[in-house]
Amino acid sequence: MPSGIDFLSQGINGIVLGLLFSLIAIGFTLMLGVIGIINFAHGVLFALGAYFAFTLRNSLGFWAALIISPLLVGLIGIIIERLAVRRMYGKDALFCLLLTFGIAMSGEELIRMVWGKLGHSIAAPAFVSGSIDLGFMLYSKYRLLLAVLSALILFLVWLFLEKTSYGAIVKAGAQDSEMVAALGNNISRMRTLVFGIGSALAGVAGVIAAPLWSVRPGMGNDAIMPAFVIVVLGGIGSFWGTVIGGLAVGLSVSLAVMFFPRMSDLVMYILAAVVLLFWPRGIMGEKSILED
Amino acid sequence: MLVVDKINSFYEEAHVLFDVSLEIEKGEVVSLLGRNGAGKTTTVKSIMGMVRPHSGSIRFKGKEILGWQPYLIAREGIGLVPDERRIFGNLTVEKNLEVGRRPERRGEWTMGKVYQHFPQLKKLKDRKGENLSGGEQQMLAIARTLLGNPDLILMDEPTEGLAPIIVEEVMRIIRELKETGITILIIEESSTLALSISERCYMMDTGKVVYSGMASELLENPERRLALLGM
Amino acid sequence: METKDDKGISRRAFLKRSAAGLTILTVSGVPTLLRAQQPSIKIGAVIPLSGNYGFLGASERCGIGLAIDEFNSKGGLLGRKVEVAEEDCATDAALAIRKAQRLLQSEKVNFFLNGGGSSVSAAMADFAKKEGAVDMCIDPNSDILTGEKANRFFFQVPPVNYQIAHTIAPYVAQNIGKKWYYFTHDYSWGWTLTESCRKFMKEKGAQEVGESKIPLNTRDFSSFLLKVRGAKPEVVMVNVAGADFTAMVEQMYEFGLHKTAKIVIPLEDFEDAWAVGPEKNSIFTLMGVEWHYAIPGVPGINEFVARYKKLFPRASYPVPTTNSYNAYMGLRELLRAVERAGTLDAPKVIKALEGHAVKDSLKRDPTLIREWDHQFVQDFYYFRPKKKKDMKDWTDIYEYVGYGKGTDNAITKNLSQARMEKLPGE
Repeated sequence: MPSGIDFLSQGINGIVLGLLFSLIAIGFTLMLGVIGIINFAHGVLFALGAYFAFTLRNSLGFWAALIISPLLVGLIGIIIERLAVRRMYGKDALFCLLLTFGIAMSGEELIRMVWGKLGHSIAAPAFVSGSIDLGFMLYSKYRLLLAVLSALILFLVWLFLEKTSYGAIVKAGAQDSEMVAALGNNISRMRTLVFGIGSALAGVAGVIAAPLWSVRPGMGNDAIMPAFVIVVLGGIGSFWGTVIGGLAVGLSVSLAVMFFPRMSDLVMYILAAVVLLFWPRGIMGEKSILED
Repeated sequence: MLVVDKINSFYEEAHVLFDVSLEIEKGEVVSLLGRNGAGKTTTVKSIMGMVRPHSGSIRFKGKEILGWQPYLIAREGIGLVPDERRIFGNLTVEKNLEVGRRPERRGEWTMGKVYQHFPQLKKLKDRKGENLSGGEQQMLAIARTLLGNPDLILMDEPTEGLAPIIVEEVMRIIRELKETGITILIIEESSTLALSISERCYMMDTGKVVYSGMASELLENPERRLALLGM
Repeated sequence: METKDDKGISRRAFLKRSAAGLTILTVSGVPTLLRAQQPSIKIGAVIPLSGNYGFLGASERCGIGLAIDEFNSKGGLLGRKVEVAEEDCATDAALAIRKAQRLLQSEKVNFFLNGGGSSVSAAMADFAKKEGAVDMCIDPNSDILTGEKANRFFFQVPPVNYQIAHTIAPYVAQNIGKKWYYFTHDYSWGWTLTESCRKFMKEKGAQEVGESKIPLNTRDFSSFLLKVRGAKPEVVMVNVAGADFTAMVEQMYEFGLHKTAKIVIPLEDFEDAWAVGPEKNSIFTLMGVEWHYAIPGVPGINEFVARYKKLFPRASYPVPTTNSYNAYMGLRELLRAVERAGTLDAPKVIKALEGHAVKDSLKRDPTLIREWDHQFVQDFYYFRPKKKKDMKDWTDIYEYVGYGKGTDNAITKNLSQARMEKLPGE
């Protein structure tokens, strides 16, 4: 039986991972909840964030890369939305799925062409390299930074949605976009903006995750699979659902290693299946566009 | 202010409005009556740009607005208080109101004035939309639209589903708005209420306008009214 | 009697034409026979150029190139030029076999070379036997390749897990620590390496305090690393390879595992160490390495390295690695055996290989090509990370600690599962 300290250390690790998972999923949730699309390209946007940072870091340093890379990814998101995704609004959800799937596949191929097919491991920035002694355990300094950054960004998203008037428009748009338009708001521009923000969030998650999971052309899967699971777990379009879902996944993966280590990869899917049995809309879920 | 001229609107393939025409002068309160399915809401949606007529014209303050996007029509000065109210349930009262604000349209309605005029909303300002009663929601819907400082308000069935005492409250508010000189098109199934506050009225049946005249006339002639309503 | 079809060709004429066609086809088989007398000797190389072990392919190519150059620059083999036809197996066994078929049928290769991991090689072992084509296996370390899969046509160049464990485990138990924790890559290679290590660990009086099976394609090792702490091991044995290994080293460094235990890797590829960089690689206390360009006291190594650099100035790795070495050795010895046998006939080449001792093995001791399991019995080395100030350049990452003789540590006949079949005529 693992000791209390084992639980504590795995628990802390689980929360750290959970915050990263929440960050990975939040952009996906926004797009699904507000625009009503399943963005399969979320994984490739995540990968692009990591790759841009990989390239920029040597010349500009970690912090500059952390800010510029997501902006670039956000820009790409806006371009994708304006050129392609917006034509799928109002059509069967399947069309958008296929479109974003196609973008994901070609995006991955593009990454292979530009950066090569081999993976690269990314070092944590020097000031957070190596381990820190927390007394009862040694923990990775970078992971602590990662937790802080993830929490901060999630907080900024929350602030935007809850405290700004544009945030109110975005939230209202998730519920009744026709009425929001009838009140004089440009929904089309709002959707573009949300797609851009969602993409930038995927990008920043990629930058932050890169030193942890290394960059590989196929790294989008590290993002899209947990994003799906978390959205299903936490409820479509719910901010807190995403945060809770992310933490649940992070904790279950960490704790699973203590009891069923060979299943630690599968645990998140099992968890999702179990939750769905009791809460078909997820823990915080509301009736969504997908149910109509 | 508003001239709707022979519009023909469709839902999918179905032709639902046939050469519908109506006019509203500035400062008037006009009612649009008819049974369920007569085409009243479709007319409102057509004016608001949510349904696009295949032919005809809609002129607002001299401009042709047929074919405009709803948000541009709203910004031009038409406000919609829709049937079913369509409150944003996941937002608080205050946030609901914020979505209605159109700071670029200067006018008397500010958050402060709204709270002054609707003190119940002020008390409820942190309550989530989905937790409001029907009457509170109706008040919120009206206040939200007012914050856009519209020149013309389209009110679709404002008293539907409300208890009589609340209905009185809503009617009172509409009367007060009328006093401020705002132009209103009010749609109601309950003709008595609508006729009591409007000067003129139109009546629709199966997608056509079947009567246009003074409200007082219909009020004094209940048989005529019933006949027109097809009952 | 003539019958005509609607195109006006009589049946007899049709038969005549068919017969003529068939004859031409048969006669054209003659050039096929003649081709055996054609100028070049062809080697079919089924190697990993993509997939999980894609990075090995690049090194192997260089080793192949070195062997071929050695022969061709001296007039070829049996007076004929040696050529290689390369195919990417992408670390996939089924794909490897299809490509090998193609090499045999279309390219008409005379011999094979294969790499890409144990499952590819296990499949190639069966293929070699079935087709009667000699195949040199140059990268995996799985015990079954000299055990149940061993056959007369298949030769295993790298040492297998048993020998690796037998070399490393006793040294670790005696010099590094007695309480061991295993990280076992969760598939057959990992399991067998850990099993063998356990056997020798117990023999030398060390004990196991825990094991974590690491699923393939694990990205995040944090939970595994935190779990180790509770067991308080002195030694952590890392039986993990490939891309998972790279990620794992990063995270071991992040979590400071090397501060609380001594980390040992029984089998490390230079390519993996290269990928993580010398700073991260220095978390290891001991690394088992098949071959390194800077092994001291071995004649011929410097010339070999110089030849590599001259032939491949822009190779992925600036120095030859184990994988270049094994590819070179495997092919070179095959070609020498052909020379000794004086013919391309497989059974004769096989007999020329079996029992042969390779004196210029580029290792301390000669390499013996064992006839009862076809293992190239070679030395196995272990190193510690070189301190940065001692490094001559950034490929000089290993500091010599010691080695185990192949003849001392390879599996003995009584323990082996190898059962060689008889060749026709024996």
